[in-house]
Amino acid sequence: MERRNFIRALIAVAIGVPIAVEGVTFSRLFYQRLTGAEPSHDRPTGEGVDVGEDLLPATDAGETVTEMSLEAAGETEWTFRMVVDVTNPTEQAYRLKLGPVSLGDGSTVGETISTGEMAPAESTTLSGEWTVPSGSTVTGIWAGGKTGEDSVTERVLLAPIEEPA
Amino acid sequence: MEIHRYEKIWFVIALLMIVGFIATIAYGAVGAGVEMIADDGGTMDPNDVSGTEFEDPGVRQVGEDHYEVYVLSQQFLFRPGTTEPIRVPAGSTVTFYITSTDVMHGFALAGTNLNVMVIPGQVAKVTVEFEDPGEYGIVCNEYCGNGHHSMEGKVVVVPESQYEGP
Amino acid sequence: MSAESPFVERFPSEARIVRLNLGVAFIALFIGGLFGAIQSLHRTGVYRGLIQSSDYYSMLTAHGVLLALVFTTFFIAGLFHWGITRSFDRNAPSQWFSMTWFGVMLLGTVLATIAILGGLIPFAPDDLNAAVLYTFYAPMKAHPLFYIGAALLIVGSWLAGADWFWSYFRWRKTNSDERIPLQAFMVLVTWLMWYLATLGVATEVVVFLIPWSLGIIPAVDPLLTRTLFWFFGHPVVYFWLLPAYFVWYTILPKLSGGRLVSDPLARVSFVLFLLLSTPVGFHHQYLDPGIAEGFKFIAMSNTMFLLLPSLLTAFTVVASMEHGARQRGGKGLLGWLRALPWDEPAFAGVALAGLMFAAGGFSGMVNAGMNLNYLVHNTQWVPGHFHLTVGTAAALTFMAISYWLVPQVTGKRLQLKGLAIVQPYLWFLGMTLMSNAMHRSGLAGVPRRTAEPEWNAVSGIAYETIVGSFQETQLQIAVGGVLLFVSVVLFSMVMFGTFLVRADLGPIRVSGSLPRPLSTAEDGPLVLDNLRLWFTIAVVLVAIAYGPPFFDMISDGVFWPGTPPTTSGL
Repeated sequence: MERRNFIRALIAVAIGVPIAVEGVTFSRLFYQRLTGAEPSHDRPTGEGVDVGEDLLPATDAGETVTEMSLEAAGETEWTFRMVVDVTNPTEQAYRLKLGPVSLGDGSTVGETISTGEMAPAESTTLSGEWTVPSGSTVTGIWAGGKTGEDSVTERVLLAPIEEPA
Repeated sequence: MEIHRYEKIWFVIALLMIVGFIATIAYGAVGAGVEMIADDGGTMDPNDVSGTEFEDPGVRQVGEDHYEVYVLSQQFLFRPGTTEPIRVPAGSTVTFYITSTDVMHGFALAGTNLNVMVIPGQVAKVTVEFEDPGEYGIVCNEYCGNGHHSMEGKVVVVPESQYEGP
Repeated sequence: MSAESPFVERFPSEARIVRLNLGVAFIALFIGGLFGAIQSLHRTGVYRGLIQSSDYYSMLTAHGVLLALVFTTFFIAGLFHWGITRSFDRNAPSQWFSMTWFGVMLLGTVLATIAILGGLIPFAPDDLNAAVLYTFYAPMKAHPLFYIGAALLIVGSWLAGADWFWSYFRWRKTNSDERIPLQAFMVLVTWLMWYLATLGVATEVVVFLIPWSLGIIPAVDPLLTRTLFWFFGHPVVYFWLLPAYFVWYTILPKLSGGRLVSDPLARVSFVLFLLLSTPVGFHHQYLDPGIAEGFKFIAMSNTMFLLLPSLLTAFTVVASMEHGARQRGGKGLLGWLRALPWDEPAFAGVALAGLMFAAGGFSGMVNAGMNLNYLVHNTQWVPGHFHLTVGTAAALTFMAISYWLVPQVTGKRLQLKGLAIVQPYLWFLGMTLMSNAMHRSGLAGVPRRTAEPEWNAVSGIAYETIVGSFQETQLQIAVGGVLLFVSVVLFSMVMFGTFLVRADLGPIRVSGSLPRPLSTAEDGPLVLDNLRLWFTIAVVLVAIAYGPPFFDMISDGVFWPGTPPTTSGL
């Protein structure tokens, strides 16, 4: 009798767990398809740029983030605001372009703003506001720094930003 | 030869399923227009890239929204792609030409359908459309030696407003 | 045939050949399985302290070669030697010749294994390595011993087939009107397919890679050698699968308590495999440059038709199991399943292997889908698939049927039967966990054949998984891999114990007799036994599928575009 129960328990675990695992996989796949829920995006690897840090370390110019925030702007929208202090210590002209914004669901929203051409030793502040759907996770922002003829264009990862209250 | 009625039914279902599968793949090829990598990239001498585009691999603009990217795969990096990301603008059509001068490699944008074998002597030619901005990781997915696991790269699809040219 | 004395008493010399082959197979299984466990801990990041990532590839080569070439070939040779002897009920034509083919296979195995393990042993000479993986694509070069060893293993297997065809021709002389006994038929058809299939890899290794690795020829065309490999690389999976079908058709019905419902349908499925296994190799090269899309399309449709004999097998085998279950008193639409002997290790393992194969077959259908292949090629989806097929349908069937066969070829009772009962269930559980996670991570683009799949050279990139995170799939793979290794350990303990126990502990408890099928060989058309006809058609189909592409590749020069050997390290 003991052996029969052992076999039953063995079958229950050895076949039951696989059925459960496959069943859960299948139903989650189906659920994702039916509801259009987004695939899980693991947060991209790497540390995000935070307030006080340089946006594009690859350029000799300095692009220091002084403000990075999200504020509610109505029922369905939030405003993402970023302010960058830009200095050009090089001997050449420098230009920073900022935006669009990259969101956690993979989409890209908004316009691009520019410092315009900065002479050597010039500094300026670039600030911009982008409208994003409420509930979005802002994961990054496109930034392009052009020193003379060389340009560096990246989707810069940003540190997590506090959601509006 | 005696065949049970159920088995005859099963046999018919099996054939229908097989024909159905062939039809869906044929639709993908002919209807949806998903082309397979073929031999139109041509061949070249893998021991000597001089005189070919692979002597100076990189991105070239060949039309208003059309770009060509010549990628040289070597143990253990993509040129371009690894030390310098491959940058193309969103909304462009890009034709990749990929080859190797040492061993077999793979060139795949993880999570997408851009996935090709890279064989010395053969040029893999594949054309894709990049609609939206984003970043893709290039993974070498064919074993190429003891540094294989570090052979990675990036394709950056830059928003048009940010694109500075090839 | 009712009570008969065990095989080892009727055919002691043949039984010895079987034991030798199984012994080598089981040793290869243990070592290959151990390496698999280490790999599953390493690449998932769970524990990387056992080996360096740069050595991972020598270990992976050993895992692939020992399991997919050595364990399989030796087990199959032992199983088929038993099957042929049993079918014709007479001794092998020459015990010396049988020993010779075993010896050639073993020599080849030892040489290749030395080359591979040289890459893992610190004090071995620098050039003694074969970190080329089981597919050994040029221009990556292994030590010449690797290629020579591989060639000897293949040649040894050809000689094994000659042994069995020799038996067949001798039997024919005194049985000119009889149908070929079913097990012998299956052995001969499998080996006809094998002879055709190995032409590709034998040409690749003997004509190109051995001379190239010795420096006799300076360059080979990597596309040509790769194509020659895959000419062999697809039918080899049927070389692994048909022996499992051999078990499912001829022994599983008896283990289920019944009979095979149809002998002719079993023959039909084997004939279809002989015809279709080889002209499909391009489905492993869907994403290769240098091969026109038309050839790939033909391979795709041929491959889809290869589903047919497997689907037919599913029906016949399940019907036979149901027949057996109802003989045992099983009732109801599905309730008969409970009447099957799930506490018998041989039955349970073979049945679970068959069940798991259904899943593997379906993921294989995806692989066959030419343009779908973009999404799964060289991702972890592929090992997810083949661990279900060769790794379970074949390997678990082989392990499980050993519980039934080894007593008959040793004359000893199965030892540690409690462990044997648990082993197949543990395998099934471990394999589901591992393979499920491999399929899921593969769909996110996680590559196969790498020591470190995580992104470490670029930042800002993450795998987009659909169900569960990347980390979670990796952990699941590690858990599954460890459970599988525990299962291999249990199997090895049972076999070791049984081989080593004293022989005089009483008669063995299994009966080797196999009942007649419900629909016998005589009920099927004579043409099924016309091996010459089927082999000829198989050759014609291969000529059509491969003739034009090979001509294309060779017409610009057999050795062009050519590459010299390159090593695996910098």
